[in-house]
Amino acid sequence: MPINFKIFVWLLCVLPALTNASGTKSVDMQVQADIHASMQMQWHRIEVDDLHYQQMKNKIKLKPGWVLLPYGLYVELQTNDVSRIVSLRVNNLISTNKIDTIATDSIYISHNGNALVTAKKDLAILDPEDRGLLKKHVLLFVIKTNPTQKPGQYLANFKFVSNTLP
Amino acid sequence: MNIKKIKTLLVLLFISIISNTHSAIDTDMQEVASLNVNAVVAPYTTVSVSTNELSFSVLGTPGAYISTDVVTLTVDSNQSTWSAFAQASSLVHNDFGVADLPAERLSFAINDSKQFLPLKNNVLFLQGVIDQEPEPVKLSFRLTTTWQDTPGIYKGKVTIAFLNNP
Repeated sequence: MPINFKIFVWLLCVLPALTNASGTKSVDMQVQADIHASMQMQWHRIEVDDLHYQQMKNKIKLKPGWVLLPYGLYVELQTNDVSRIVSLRVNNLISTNKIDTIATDSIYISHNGNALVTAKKDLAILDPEDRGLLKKHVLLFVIKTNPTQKPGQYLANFKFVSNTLP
Repeated sequence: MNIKKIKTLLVLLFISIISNTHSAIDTDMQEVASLNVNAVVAPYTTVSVSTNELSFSVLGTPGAYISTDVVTLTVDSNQSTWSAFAQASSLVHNDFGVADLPAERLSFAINDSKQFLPLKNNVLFLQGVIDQEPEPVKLSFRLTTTWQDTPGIYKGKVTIAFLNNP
């Protein structure tokens, strides 16, 4: 028997085993993940002795007649939703006797120590480009006083407004 | 031929028959024919999973979510040794252009183990030998999500592959 033929026969016997040895079987499982829009937000009032308050207070330049309120807000928020917008809405300050008001025309907001912005408009604290980021905000409030405002105690009303872009 | 000769022949024939009969009974069994039997035991491996679909419902804030289904995997093989590997593909969002969830965000645990193995590459998780009765294993899958993950439906697959070593 020629030697080549022997090798051929040997290979014929061995190859199936080798193929089987290296062969694999597999099972596929389909995976589906449904991720829903989510937002996490926490806030608390900060007082004058709060470190955040002190840090941001030092950045604010007050003009004569402007009064910085002795409290503010510390807000942390985060979302995975690209269409989510969160804003701060400030209402008129109302005196405790519910007669007098200080309109939002006279209220300004310091956002993380940046230049004061009017409270007449909602202040965006979470934009679509902030998606996925943990946003931290220190919000302080300034009253531009004028002679028409009556002295006394006033109540502030702040709202966080969440909108979803279409 | 005369009758005497015929009688003689008959007697000899009778003696011969009797003698052969005794011989067949008294001596050991002798091979009179042989039959070659070839039994071919083909290599086989059967694999079954209790479900071929995994689903994750991420309703709350990002984190680790366990799949609603626990997969029971059963392997039966006559191979001397065999190995089982797991691998996952990235989970692709339904909308074009949204970043995938990388495969390593999927992990799995065997039976009641609390240790989850990330499905980064082919992960060897089970080995069997021929003299050991294979027992079904329970596979729990976990998906880890982050705030950066866009809401929506993602799809992919987990592949359980088997390598036979005859």
